Amino acid sequence: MTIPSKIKILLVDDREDNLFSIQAVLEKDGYEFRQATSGRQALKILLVEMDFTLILMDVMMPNMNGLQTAFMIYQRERLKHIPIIFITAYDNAEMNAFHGYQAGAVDYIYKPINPDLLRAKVSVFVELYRKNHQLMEQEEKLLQINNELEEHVRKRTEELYNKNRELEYKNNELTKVNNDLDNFIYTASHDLMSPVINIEGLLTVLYKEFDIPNEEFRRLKDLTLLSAERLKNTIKDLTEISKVQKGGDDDIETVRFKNLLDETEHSIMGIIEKNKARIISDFDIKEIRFSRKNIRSIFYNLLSNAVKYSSPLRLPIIHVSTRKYHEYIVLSIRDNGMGMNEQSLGKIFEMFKRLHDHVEGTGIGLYIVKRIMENNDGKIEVESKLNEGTTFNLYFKNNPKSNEKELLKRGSYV
Amino acid sequence: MKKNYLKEEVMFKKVNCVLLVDDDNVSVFLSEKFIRSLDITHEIKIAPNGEMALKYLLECSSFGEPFPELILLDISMPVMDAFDFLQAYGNMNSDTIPKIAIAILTTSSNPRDIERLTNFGIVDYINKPLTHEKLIHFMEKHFNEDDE
Repeated sequence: MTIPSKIKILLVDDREDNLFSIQAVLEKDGYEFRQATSGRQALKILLVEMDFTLILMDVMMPNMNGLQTAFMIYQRERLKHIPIIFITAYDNAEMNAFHGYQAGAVDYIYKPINPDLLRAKVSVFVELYRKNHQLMEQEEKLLQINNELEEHVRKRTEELYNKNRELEYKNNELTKVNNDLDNFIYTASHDLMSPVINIEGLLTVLYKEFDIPNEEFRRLKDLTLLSAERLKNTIKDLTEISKVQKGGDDDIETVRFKNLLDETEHSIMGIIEKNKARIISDFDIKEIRFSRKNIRSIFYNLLSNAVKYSSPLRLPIIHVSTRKYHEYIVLSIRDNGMGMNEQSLGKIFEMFKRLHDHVEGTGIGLYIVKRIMENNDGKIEVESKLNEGTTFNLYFKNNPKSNEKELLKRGSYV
Repeated sequence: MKKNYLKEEVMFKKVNCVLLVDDDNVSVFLSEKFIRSLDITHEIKIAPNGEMALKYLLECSSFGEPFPELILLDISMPVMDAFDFLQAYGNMNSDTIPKIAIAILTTSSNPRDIERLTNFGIVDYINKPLTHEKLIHFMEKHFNEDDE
């Protein structure tokens, strides 16, 4: 909607000379006029043209007076916004009725008409009309901007929704591929194990029954048996990995750190005694809710590493402690062993990465520990100084997801 | 060095019959070889799966033949695996089929498998491949002559 360049005014009076003189006064201000000599004619004009800025109407007219005409005009919705100035010789109480009808849009002017007052009154309404139109135009613009904005937001929301759907789909795909891979590793390692074990057995029989006292033969025999042993250990590790990958949160329980340490010490008694290692514990936090199998694996791997990679210069002392740190329970395992340089530190969590060849191992332990931590919203950090020692800090989420799961599970049975 | 076992005095009772239940030919060949060379039994019967093993036990029962005193059982086999065999064996009438010592031959000690098997009253687990040492250790543990 634009502001009309012409301001149109409808003049209604049964006397043509009045019409003429009013028009003459207002013409100076550049308005456009329509004239009607009766209420009926005014209504007729208003049937076709509705874009009047203002109506000037004589009250005293034959047949249908100004007030009756105004009443008829205002019954039409599309004309309600047009203000009317009544021209009257005296006060008429009925005129006030229109105030309630259209607040501020009805006025009156007394006869004999003062030209300056007429022009002033008309100009007030014209100004009002202009302002109104400006406002309406601005409102329209705002509405348009608003609509554009809404459209924009709607499009973006739709885009986001689609992207989300896509992500979800990809996520599902990935989970599926991951599961397939786990199953593949599990099955493959199982199926590989039997023939390897058979080869090992066959070699043992072969060397027993056809032993040749010859240096070269002995060497070959040792190497073939060693190769079979290595292959077997690698396959065993693959099985271990697939077990970790499979989640394994089905044995979550409250585990006491002291018990875990005792169990682990017992199972690695051999190397502890061989290395004359001393293990000192200080459990600030006594217990944790975790998969027993997994946390046992963590203790076993880290403690046996701490004992195995001890320094030849001193007896191994290993400190095992727990404490609270924000939302985590932190398990620290600190040794005074060989330690590592920075280059080695970056590699220790990789699969099948072995840093030392004088110590037995397959390079899977730390990888498994890291996987367990990450699968349970935790993390593992390591600090080390060459020839001084290594500290592993494990951050266990105090309320891991699995707890919620368990609660949900319980809840559904209630 | 390993052959010395055979010359030494070993402290276990020779059994009448061992039933070997395994589908892997090579594995059977090896197990049979060690069992024979250690002379722990008069007879070795071989079944390629759990179903054949059950059939053999039923035949012993119906023909009045002596039952095996030891069953060496592989876990994963086609047709009928160790779990199904143990289930079926457990359901058999204990008047006609006696309680036989059953040891599991495994390729890997998967804790889940072990847990499932524990409920069946297994006497022991032997990791493959079978060797003289493992077999002697097992026999001395479960078929000790002093026990008799």
